[in-house]
This record gives sequence, structure tokens and C-alpha cells, in this order.
Amino acid sequence: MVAGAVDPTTPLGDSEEFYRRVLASDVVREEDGSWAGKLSSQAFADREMQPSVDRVLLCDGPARTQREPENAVVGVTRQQIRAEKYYLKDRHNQPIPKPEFAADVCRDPCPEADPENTAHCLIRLNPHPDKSQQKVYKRLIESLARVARPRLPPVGVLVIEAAPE
Amino acid sequence: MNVETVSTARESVRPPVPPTFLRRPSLTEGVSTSVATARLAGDTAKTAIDPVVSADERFRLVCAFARVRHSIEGRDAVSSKTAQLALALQDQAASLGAWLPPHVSRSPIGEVVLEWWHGARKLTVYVGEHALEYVRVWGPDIESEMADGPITGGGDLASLLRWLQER
Repeated sequence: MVAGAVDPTTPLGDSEEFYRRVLASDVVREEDGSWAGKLSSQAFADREMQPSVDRVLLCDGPARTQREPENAVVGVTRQQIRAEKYYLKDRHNQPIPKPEFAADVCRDPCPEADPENTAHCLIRLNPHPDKSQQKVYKRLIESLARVARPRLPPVGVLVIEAAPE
Repeated sequence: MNVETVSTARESVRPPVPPTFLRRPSLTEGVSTSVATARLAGDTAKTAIDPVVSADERFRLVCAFARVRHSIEGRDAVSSKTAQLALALQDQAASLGAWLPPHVSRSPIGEVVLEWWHGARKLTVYVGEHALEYVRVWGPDIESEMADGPITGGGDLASLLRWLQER
């Protein structure tokens, strides 16, 4: 799919990319002030444990997602999100049936907090953890911060190629 | 269905009070911004400088802890008590050999989040008013490349830092 060929009701594609706004405090810079794409796990933190992202195909570039020039924008694909796996057990310590995708993206256009944003989506775990199960969410945001790639740096910050680990 | 996560290294048990190893007075020295400012100005005689973290790094840390005291988009402000606990933990980590200061941020519910990287390994510590928790990460797989649990004493922190520095 290409930009212009979709509208907010078009089903999400498997390989679609999503923008995530990263607050300046969650951008981990190198000693020289540049950014190699390293993120704090809190880049994907969300009070409701369902971080907001914007569907790239419905965005005219990452600038709207960025909002403030000191923020950054990163990209994560649906494949990367769907590759997340975690396992839950019931109170008898027995595994519960695994969903096809433990994490996925769902459309959430024009939310109350951002009514003009037709590209708005949510990353959700399946089943959605409750407050007592924050451990799995904390692991999810670690993983997302690791796989996300820089798309727009904070204004004035140079993006450098990350060295292989 | 009542479900819970599994495969965590240890079950999280929230103690009713901050861990005692962070309540030692010597670990909370140097918390105030004024002390850090004095250090930045070169007035280093009043307080002992941490042997690992330089004065400039220390000042940046204290500024970072000051910033998390303010609420921002989607994130609660960190309480004074939590910020002091987090700085005390950073001091403890430095005394145990953490060779770089951590990245400091906050969670949506007002925890201070300290993060250290070493190659592919990463250690995240969540500092709340009543509990310390860690997430160890050595890859993106949630199930097989991460572990988590509570930090209940200096020994736990020391072993986590040793793990981080292993090659």
C-alpha cells in the first residue's frame, strides 16, 4: 500500500509502519550530543498500557507526530509489534491459550485527546494486562524501544549510524 | 480469568517502607541541587566526590532528577521522596562500580526510571516510594531475553551491576 491509497477505515497491512512521538527526556544521546537511535524504555510508556502511534500511510511526514521540536519520532512496523511474544498463566500456574498475536496495533482514529488525528492507532497487548500485570508491559516497552528506528530527530540533533553491538 | 505473568526471575513483593539499604544517611548525601552546584563551581572540598561519577556528570544527574519533579505530557511528577531515593540508589550504584551515570527518566505513574547500557545488555531500575524493581534485558524477546524482579538490598543491586558488566 502507498500513501494516498488508504483512508482511516482501510484495514492495517502487515508491513505498515507507525510513528511514535518520543519525548525529549526519553531520547538517549551520545556523549557528543548526537543520537544513534537509542531510546529509554519510557519512549513507549503509557498510563493505560496502550501506547499511541500514528499510521505512517495517513501522515504527511513525521512532523505532526513530533508536535514539539525537542521531541523525536521513531518508527516501528506492525511485523515488529506482532513479533512480540509473552506468556500468561492462570492462578493455577497453567498456561492460558496463546493468542495469534500477543501484541498488535488497532485503529483508533480521532481520539478525544487528539480529535483531528485520523492516523491515530494503539499498540495493545492481547489480553490487555491489568494494573497488577505491569511486568509484562514493562518488558514490552523495553522490546519496542530496542526495535524502533529513528525517523525524525529533535531539532538540532545529529543522527548517527548506530554501531553494531 | 485471573491471570498473572510468569517466568519472572523473582516474584514482586512490595515492602511497606523503602528498602533499608537506601535509608543509610551516607547514601543520601549530596542530594540537594545546591551541593551539586557547588561541585560544578569547583568547590569540591565540602563534600566527597563520588570516585566514579565526575562532578559534571553528577551535576547533570541532579538536574535530571530535578526535571522529573515536574509533570509533563502523560507523566506524573516524581515526589521529592522518590527522587531522593533514586539519587541515593544512583550513589549506591556508583559506589558498587557503575562506571557511567544512568539515563534518568520517569514512568507515567511517578516512578524514577534509571537505565544503564553495556553492549547488548541493559539494566532498568524503577524507583517508587515503596518498591524498587528491575528489568534485565539482553535482547528484544520478552520471554527469553528479559528478566525482572524486586531489588530488596544492596546485594541485589551489586549482582545486577555485575551481570551488566559481564562480557
